[in-house]
Order: sequence, then structure tokens, then C-alpha cells
Amino acid sequence: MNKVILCLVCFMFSCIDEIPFSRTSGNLEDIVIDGFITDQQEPYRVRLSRAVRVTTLQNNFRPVEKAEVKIEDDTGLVVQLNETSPGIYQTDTAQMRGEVGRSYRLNVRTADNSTYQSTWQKMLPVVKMDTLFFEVEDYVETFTNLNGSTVEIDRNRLKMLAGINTTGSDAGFYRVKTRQIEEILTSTLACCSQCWVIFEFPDVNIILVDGTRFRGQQLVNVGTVSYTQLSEYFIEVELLSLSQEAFDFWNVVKEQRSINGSIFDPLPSTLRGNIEKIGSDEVVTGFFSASASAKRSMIIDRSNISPPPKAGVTLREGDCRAISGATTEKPDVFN
Amino acid sequence: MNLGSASGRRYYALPLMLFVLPFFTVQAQTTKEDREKEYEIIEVGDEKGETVRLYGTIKSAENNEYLIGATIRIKNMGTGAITDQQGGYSITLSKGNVSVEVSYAGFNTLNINLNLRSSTILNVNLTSSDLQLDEIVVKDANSLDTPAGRTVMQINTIRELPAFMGEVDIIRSLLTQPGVSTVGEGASGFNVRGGKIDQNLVLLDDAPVFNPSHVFGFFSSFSGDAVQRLELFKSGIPSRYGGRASSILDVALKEGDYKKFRLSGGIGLISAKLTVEGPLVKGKGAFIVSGRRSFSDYLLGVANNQDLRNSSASFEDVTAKLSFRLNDRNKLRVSAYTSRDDFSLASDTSFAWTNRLVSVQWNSFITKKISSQVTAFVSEYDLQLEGESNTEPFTLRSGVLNYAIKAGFGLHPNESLDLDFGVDVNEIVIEPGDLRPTGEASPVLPINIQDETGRELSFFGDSEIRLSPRFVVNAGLRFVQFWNVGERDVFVFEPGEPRTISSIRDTLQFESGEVIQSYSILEPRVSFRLKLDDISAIKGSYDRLGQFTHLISNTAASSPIDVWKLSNEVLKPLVNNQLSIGYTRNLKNRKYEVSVELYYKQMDELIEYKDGAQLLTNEVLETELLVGEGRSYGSEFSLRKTNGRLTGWINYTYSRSEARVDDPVQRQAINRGEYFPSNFDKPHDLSIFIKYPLSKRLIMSANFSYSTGRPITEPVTRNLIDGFLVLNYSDRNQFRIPDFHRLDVSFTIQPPEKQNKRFQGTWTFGAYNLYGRKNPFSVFFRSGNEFTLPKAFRLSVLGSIFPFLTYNFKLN
Repeated sequence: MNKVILCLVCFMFSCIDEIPFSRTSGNLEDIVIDGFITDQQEPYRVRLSRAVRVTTLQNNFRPVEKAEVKIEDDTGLVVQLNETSPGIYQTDTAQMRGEVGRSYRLNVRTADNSTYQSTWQKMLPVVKMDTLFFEVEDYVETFTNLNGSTVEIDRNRLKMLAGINTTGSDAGFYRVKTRQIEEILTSTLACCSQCWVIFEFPDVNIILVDGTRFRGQQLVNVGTVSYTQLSEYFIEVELLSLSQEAFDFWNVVKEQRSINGSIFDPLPSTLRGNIEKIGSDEVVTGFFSASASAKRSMIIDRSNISPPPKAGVTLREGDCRAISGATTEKPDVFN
Repeated sequence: MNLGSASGRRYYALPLMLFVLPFFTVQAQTTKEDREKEYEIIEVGDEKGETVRLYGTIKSAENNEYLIGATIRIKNMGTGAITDQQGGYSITLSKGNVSVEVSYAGFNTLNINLNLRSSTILNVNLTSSDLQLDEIVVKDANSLDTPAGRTVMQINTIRELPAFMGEVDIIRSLLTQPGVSTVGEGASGFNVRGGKIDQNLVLLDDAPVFNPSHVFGFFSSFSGDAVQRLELFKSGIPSRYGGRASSILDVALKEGDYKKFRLSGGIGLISAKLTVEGPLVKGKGAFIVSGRRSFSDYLLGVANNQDLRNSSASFEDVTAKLSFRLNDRNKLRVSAYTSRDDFSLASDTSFAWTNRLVSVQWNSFITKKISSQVTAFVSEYDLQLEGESNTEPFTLRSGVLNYAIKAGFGLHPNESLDLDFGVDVNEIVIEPGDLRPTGEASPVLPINIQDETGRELSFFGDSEIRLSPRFVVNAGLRFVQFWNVGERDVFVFEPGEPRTISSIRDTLQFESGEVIQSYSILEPRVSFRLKLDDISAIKGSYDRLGQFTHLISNTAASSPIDVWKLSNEVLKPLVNNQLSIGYTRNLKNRKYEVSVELYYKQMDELIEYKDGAQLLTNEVLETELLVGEGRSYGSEFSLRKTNGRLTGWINYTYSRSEARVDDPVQRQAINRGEYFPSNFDKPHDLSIFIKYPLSKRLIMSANFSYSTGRPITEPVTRNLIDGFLVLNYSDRNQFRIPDFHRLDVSFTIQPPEKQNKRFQGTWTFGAYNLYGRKNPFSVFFRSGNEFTLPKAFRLSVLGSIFPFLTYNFKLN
């Protein structure tokens, strides 16, 4: 609890320097299995890949192709997933729909005949998300300019808060994911001045909620939205129930990503998931989870917020399609 | 600063006291009394044989305090002794002329020539020395007469070591000694011969101190002015001590002056201290009160982090001791100690931790051959953590309460045998955590982790058998019966299944005092010292120690929020077996002293944590713990120059400390069940200390430390999991951070000789980490993103030069 704050303590007299790092060891055959099932009518996806060296710039995670991937439930129903793109396996929406209270298990057989199996994961209920709103938050952006001096700019941004009601005996563990789409407006007179960018990985941080530690409504910071444009912004917040095992796994991932070298940091460790290789004690990285889902979304009209952007509005010019990931096709959520 | 605030007033109170108290003290000062004679000789025996016994006590002439660890050397026979806990000694000698030298750091050495015709009592009163510039004697070394595995440091030696911010540091001083190390600068506690920090029992006048650190771990929580000496037992541990598996650090507080009022104090960059002592009840008693308080957030003010510049840190400690000579045979001492740390971060969290203890010792010489010592203590440690955020305010409180009574008896039946035996009754209550929301609006759910109560009954017996003037054997035995008792609910896990929340099958309720689990351990302790000739000796020991109280931590350095845990129905007591052998030799007429000690330790039922363990406010902590074994071995070399203008030491240790975890119940192994280096495994450890008087008033001392970098776990590959780039780490502790080295220097300016001796002022200045090396405490990694590589960063906790300046004074 508040470990991040505790971690700051050691910086009283400390300094941090980057040092060369050129580790080239590590087993590149280590498999990563990562998948989920929810109670939503949607394809459930499992991704199989191999690790890359820490010194590899391109994240060419080698896909594990031509594997036999199955999800089974506790009624005996077994569904095979189809490889829709290299290393990505999906269910057919009509084949299976997750149900709260049911348990699910992942089975994988790779082309080299290695078999992997997850533990049974019971799909636990999810609690309500009562509210979703934002607050304008001031912050100082610091960067180094071309002549090496540090520049500080006072800015503001939108801090997104979700009210999660953890009252009740079914309070458990949750993970928050978001889906974000930004409307892009440019000043060009020719085609095209209105686009939308759907962010593939909108979440900078792993957001976890331990509902067993709180009562009543808890306000969870689910991320920030930039406030340098006055266009519309769509954000959908999804709350996913987790087993304690899954919560612990994601908590370790989160802690390892937030290590700052403090003397009170938890020591990093080998990441263990809930999947094991049959007949071997090889550590398999990744997790197969079963989650119930609750969603809440809003469209933010940034032209109608007080106070205005602190550092002004960043002007964009030219064809908006030149922006990475932009499309001129208006997403349904804006209709 | 708000001068009207409580904290503001506190800052002004101490300097005010510094000015006011001298006037008070001068008025109360007694007239000068005659010095007691330096020694007395009483012939007591009428032996027919050739051997007789020379025995007695060594005291301070200034305050009649018994001097523990003073050296009695028979110069013409190459033998001697060290005074025991009651200032006593005993040496078996041949009849005839003997030349006795009695010495103790900070006191004038006394030489006495005797013609021994029968057993003789020689009681000595040593006078404290003015500084001898041309011959400064270091008397803390392993001499021929010091038992194996024992380090004695006098406070005078500790003062001479250059210290961080000039704060005389009792615990840090130990790090210069062979076999003692730390996980890193700023870390709390110390590691002895490959043991974890909780395997050290830190005793202050016989009462345990649970967190001997200020400001997390940057300073020791004992003020140097209150301490007389400290003794570290790494092996050859007398059976009167128990409860921890690796070492005993016995810190003895000063006694007040029985004759005169004295005042001393000092001020440095961050703290000020004041000590007052004097007689009570017409010289039959004495008191000493010593206090220290930080007065400045200087350190935070220079931090390069805005939050820290807006934070505050403060600490204080007060030590008091009352001593009464009830009559010629009985003495009573009452010691009290309290320390407090407050740390509040600008954002929303504050910590406060306190140690409090009181101990009472009653020493009695029942007859000439029988003595007794009865000790009782209460010791308490409390931590309070306040989360003051607007959305989730909470208070977390945890603590430890320990109280005990110990009765020991000493028998001296004849000149070749001493016996000590006794009984020790101990109760410890651990409050692991009580989490409460602050205010009605806080959504935090209260969690109250159940208290744990342990009771120990121990019987101990020690014997010192002097088989010949050259061969001494110590044999002891300690029997400990431990009970973990209610009131507590006990979770019963599915037999054979890993301990998880879901494998809890039943909950048993135990009433207050009802025995939940018991263990008994028999702990034999044997050691010997064999003098090969007048200048060399072999020493050896075997120790077995059990431990029922554990500090559970999964961080590199212990933090104040680490959890204390008792052995219980799941966790068996830790048992340590240690073998040690050493050789000591004096060279060039005792000018140099060289020693080597080898040891091997095996630790069973060592507690480790699971990868990714969550320890704080965990109601079933056993689910996060694994049980394994540990081993450590090493060789300690020491070369000390104890005479001459230049004095000092070179201590070098080669050691390894490893653990192995292949827990069959948890079905979990760390590093596939192979031995892995512990967090503090640092094979090479070197400490060089020199002291040299540059002039009659200016003394220089310097300290150089080097050690291998500690082990860390590094990323070896990276993965993509649900859109997040995640580093995949190696097996535990397979890599090391860069090596550590540091040079500190200190200069002390003594008062001029002509200055009125009633007031003496001393300036000390110097620099810690003189060449500003950025010694890494840790190396950590950030995972990077799809466009950038992971990066490695080095965190240097004290990564620059730290100059210091202190002023100390004495008013006699």
C-alpha cells in the first residue's frame, strides 16, 4: 500500500544514472501464452508468442503458429480456436459465451507436440460502475530542449475517474481497461480535416482494484486524456472481474513495471502465470483469465470545458489521414 | 516557518537547553574529592601447590562503574584475561613474580608488579586518560584472550571512525569489522556471517531493541554519548544469550558519575545532543540522561525531488540510567530508552516509529564465590503509517511487545572453574497490523490481523574450565521451550496441498493462553582457546541457536513496514549450527596482531518469500512464504596495529551466503531448488582504518571500504502480455551490481592544553565518500516501449561527497 510513496524515501540523497546494458542471455524459446474469456458476446482471443532478447529493438515477437488451442468449460464443452493471424487464435462468437459461475480452462498443443494447460478459472461476477467523469488536473511537463537545458511548461489534462461500488459480499478483484478514440480536426481546406484515431494500446498503466479492501464507492483513476485539442474524445472503461490468482499475477506485472530502484522496492522475480507445460517444470509466462465485464463510456466535448487548456491549443494542419492510425470513417460511438 | 507552531517551538527548545543547562550544572557541582587509590591487593589463599589464582574486578576510578571487557595481561607469562559482565576476571598462574598490565580504551594503562605466594584478589580502579597523542592504543582487537568470534568495540574507537554526517554511529561502526556487512548504504540493520538482519539480537542493557535505525537506516538509533561499549558475538555465544540465530549485539549503556556532575554535548549538521550525569543519594547512586534530536531537515532541503523538499523528517532518542550501590554486595541499575522517528512526505503519507524499553538489573555478590544477576525488561516497538490522501485516508498500526525476567547465578568453586547458570522467562506479543479508515467518509475497510503471542522458557548453563594456564574450554547448554499461544484463530490447510486461501479447510479457535503449537530446542555451545606460546593461540567453537521470532521482508533493504512473525503451527523455528576455528598471533612485541577465523553455518527452516509475495496486511501470511535452508561459510582476516603513532586495522572477509528453497508442501522451488546467493552475499569485503596524529592537537582518521556488488535479478528476455511489454527476469539473484568502494576521512581538533580543563571543546570535520563515488545500491530496469530498448539504471543512495562538521564539548 502506497509503496510508490515509500519508494520515494530513498531518493533523499540519491541519484539515478543510466548505465550500459547489453545482456544477451535468456532463452528465446520461452513461450508466452496470453488469453481470456469474458461474459460478453465477442470473440475470445489467445495469443501465442516467443520471447525476444532484451536488447532487441524491434519487438518481433515470433508468433507460435499452427498450434491447437482449445477452451473447455466445466460442463464438458470444448471449443477450438481458429488462428486468425499468425499466433492469434480466436473463438467463433457463436461457439461459446462465458457465464458467471462457470469455470474455464485453456489447452494448447504446439506444432512440436508440447502441451500446455492452464488452471481452472472460475468466472466471478463484476460489480457496478456507478459513475464516469473527469476533473481538470494541472501538471508540469518537463523536457530537455535541443541545447540541453530543461524546460518546464504548466499544462492541464483531464483526469478520468470511475466510481466503482464494491459494497456487498461479492466484492472481489478487478482490472480496468479502456478503449479510447480521439477526433482529430485539422485546419486544411482540402481533404481531409476530420479523422478519428483508435488507440490500439490506450492504457499506459495496469489498473487494478482490490475490492476486498474497500467499502462503498471507490473512485478509481482510470487514466488521463490530453487537453491540447478542443475536439471530441471517446472513452470506454471496462471493469473485468479477476480471480485472486489473476489479480496477483497482474499485480506482480504492475510492480515490476513500476520498479524505480528504491531500497524498498519489492525484488523482481520470474513471472509465473497459471499455465504449465505438461510433464515439465518449465516456467510458462502469461495468464489465461475468465472475467465478467461491465462497461461505461462517455464522449467528452473538449471545446466546452472550463478552464481552457493552460498551455493553449496545439494547432494541427494538413491532411489528417497522415496521422498514424487515423481514419476518416466515423466510428459508431460518435453517431 | 510558523514560529507559533508546536514543531517550531521544538526546534528552539534544544539550543535553549544547551545554554541554560551549563549554569544549572555548574551550580550543582560538588567539590573535588580525593581520588581513590588505584588498586588493592588482598592475599586470600594458602595453597600448597604451584598454581594460584589472581582475580578481582576492574572499575572506573571516576564513577566506580565496572569495566566490562578490560584487558589484564601477565606480561612475563604471556597470559591474561578479559573482564566479564560484572567487571570480574580470574587467571590461574604459577607462584612467583608477575608483571600485570591492566588496560582499557580511554583509560590509563596500569602496570603492577606482584610476588604471588597465594591466591590473590587484585581490584583495580583505572583512571580515564587524557589523549595520548604519541601512543594511542586500540584495545578492541581479538587478542589472545578474547574468545573466538567476538568483537568488542569501545565507544572511543567508534567515535574515531568517520561517520555519515558526523553522527557517531554504533551499528555502522560494526560494518568495519570482519564478518559484518550490510545490503547497502542507507539500509537498516546488519548481516553477520551470512545471516539475515532479523537473526541479530540487539540488546541495550539486556533488553532487545526491535528497530535500531533512525531515518529508515541512515543512522543508528543509539546516541554514542550514552553507550559505554558494545560486544558482538558471532560465535562462541554464551548460553545465557538466545533467541536469534546469527549473532548477539550487546550494547552496554554508561553509568553516571558517582562523584561529580558532568555535562557534555555536541552539535552537528542535523542533530544536537546533550548528556548530563551526576551523583544521587550522597554518592550511593548515580544518574545519566542523554538525549539527541534532529533539528534540521537539511538533508531533505538539498534533495533533488520537489516532493522531498516539501517533506519533513525528524528523530530523537533519550537514554537514562540510574545506578545504586545498595551496599557492598548489591547493586541496582535501571535503564530506560526511547527513540522516535517521524517522516512525512509532502504528498500524503507519514510514518512514525518508536522503540521504548525499560530494564532493571540487580547484581548481588552473595558470597565471595557466588554472585547473582536478575534482569527484567519491557521492550516495545510501534509503527504508525498514516495515509492522508483525500480519497482513501487510513491509519495502519503494528507493533511488538516483549517482556521477560532472567535470573542468573555465577559460581567460582575453584581457580580453574567458573559456572554460570540461570533461567529466562520471556513473552512476546506481535501485532502484525491494524488497518483502519480515517474518518467516516473513507472507503478503506478495516483489517485487524490477529495478534500472535509466544512464550519462551529457557534454562541455561555455562562453564569456563581452565584446564591449564594456556588452555581454556567453555562449555554451555541452553534448553528452550517455546509455546505459540492463543487467543487466535488458526487456519487449517488441506494436508499435502500448497497453502493458499482456497486450500483453507477449517478454522480452529484457541482461547487466550491456550497452546497452539510448541517447540523445544537443545542448544549446545562449546568453545576453546589454546595458547600455543606467549604470542599465538588457536580458538574454536561450535554453536547451535534457535530462533522463534522472524522479520518477514521481500525488499532489498528492510523497511519499517516489514512484518514480525512468530514460529507457529506452519513455520518451524529456524535452527542454526555453526562451526568456527581461528588462529591469532601477536607480532613484533604486540605491535601487530594478526588473526584468521574460518566458519561454516547451516541454517534449517529458513523462511523465504514467494515470487511476488504480498506481505503487508496479509491476514494469512503463511500463503506467501516458503521454507528452505541456508548455508554460509567464510574466512575472516584481521591485521591490527595497536601501538605506535599510527594505529588501525585491515580487515578482510571472504564469505558466501546462500539459500535453497524446494518446498514440497508449497510445490514451489526457487531457481529449481538449487542454492542461490542471498541478497547480501558479498564475497569480498575489505575495511581499512587508520588513525594518525598530525600534531598534538590535530588527529586524522580514515576509513576505506570495498566489497563485491550484491546479487540482483536481471531481465533476460521481454514479452508482450495483453499489450504490455513485460520484462522476464532471470532466476533469483543471478547477477551482481558493480563493486562498492568508499573512502571517508575525519579530522579532530582537540582543545589546547592550556585551556581550562573543566571545559573541553572538540571540533571534528571531514568528508564521507571523499571521492564522491556513485556506489550503486541497486540496478533496476525499465521495460521500454515498442520503439525503445529496456534501459538499466543505477541508483546511488549516497552518490556524492558528504562533508560534515561537529562540535562536542565536555564540562567537568
